[in-house]
Amino acid sequence: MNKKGIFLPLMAIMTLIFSGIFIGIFYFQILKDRSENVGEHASNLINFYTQQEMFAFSIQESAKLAACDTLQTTFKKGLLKTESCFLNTYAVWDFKLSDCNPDPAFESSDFKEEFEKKFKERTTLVYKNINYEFRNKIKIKATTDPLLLEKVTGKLDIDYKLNINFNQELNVDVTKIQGIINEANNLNTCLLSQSFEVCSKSSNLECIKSDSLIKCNVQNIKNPCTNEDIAFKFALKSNSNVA
Amino acid sequence: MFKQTGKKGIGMLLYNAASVVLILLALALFVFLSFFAGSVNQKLLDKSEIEVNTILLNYLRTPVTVDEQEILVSDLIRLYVKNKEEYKPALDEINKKTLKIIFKQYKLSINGEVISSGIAMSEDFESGAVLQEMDAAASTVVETTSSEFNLPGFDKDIKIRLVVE
Repeated sequence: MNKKGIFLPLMAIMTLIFSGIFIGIFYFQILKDRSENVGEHASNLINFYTQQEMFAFSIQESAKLAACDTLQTTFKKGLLKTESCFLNTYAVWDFKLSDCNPDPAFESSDFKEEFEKKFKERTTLVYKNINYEFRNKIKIKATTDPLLLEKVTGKLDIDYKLNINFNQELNVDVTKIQGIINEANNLNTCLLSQSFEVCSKSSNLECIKSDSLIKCNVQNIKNPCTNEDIAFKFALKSNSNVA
Repeated sequence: MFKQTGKKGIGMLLYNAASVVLILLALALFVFLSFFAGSVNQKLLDKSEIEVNTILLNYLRTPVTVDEQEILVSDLIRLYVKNKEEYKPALDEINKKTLKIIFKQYKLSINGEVISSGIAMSEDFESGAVLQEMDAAASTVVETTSSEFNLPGFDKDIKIRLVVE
């Protein structure tokens, strides 16, 4: 057989071989219908973090509300830890007794315990290290270890982790509160040697003498969340020996 | 294969014709199978939902001055839920400066109640001087993309929903 005679059957055989491979590919379903989105993984990642950012914002808002509730409760308790110092709905401050001594640094109040209790009521997240700062404004800061929120396994193994931290600053003038405590302490000292009438003239506090107590009501402290006035009142013991 | 005979021309002709038919059959098979070939449908992912989520979040985090205090829109919404009459003007004002500029058609609802909607036709975005609301058109907003957020409230969560076309 000459060269011309070989070419065509060879080409036919090769064509059949290639057709066989092609059919084989079909048979083993290598080429299947599939649809895929361009940038699907990237979009999922962005979407995930956006949703988690919303979640983190929700935590931040919960922390703010819990802090405002705590502030309300703390003032209701007259900045004291126990209710043993209460008389006629007034927290009676005594600067010599530790239980009845309002602490300008908020340490003796149960602000921290109360906040953590109220925060737990609003979220299931557990924060072990919550830092408090009572200077100028009340600041509450908490961080978590990276939380594994979702694990996606497949061609790519993806761990979605996020730090859900919060950093909350309450718009409450702490120096003003500390000033009120100092004013009360000065008034209390004055009452040991002088009459209420004399002492009240030199004090900026709005107090009245009623029964055996000097009752003081503090105005213009607002709840930063509700924008409403916080009822804050306390009393000092009247020294009846002084005329 | 083919026996060489005296009729060499006829033999070669049949031989070549058979090969050509075979090739044509194989090619026809290729063409036939190509109709059933698997296809990869690629499409761009619709990212508008992600964008609406981000815009809603940023809207809630927008600082606003109310009663001489700087608060966030989320705080203002809480105050609005507590006292609608007092805080509605402030909320309307911030919506005019934010949502109405961003979206052509949108609907913002709080606990199922639509509090802001419309088409913003701003001729001067810089000054925000010309903003016309078309309430009639707003009522026919088609729901295409939406984002929901449960804002922690004083008593219970406040459901905020932003729908944009």
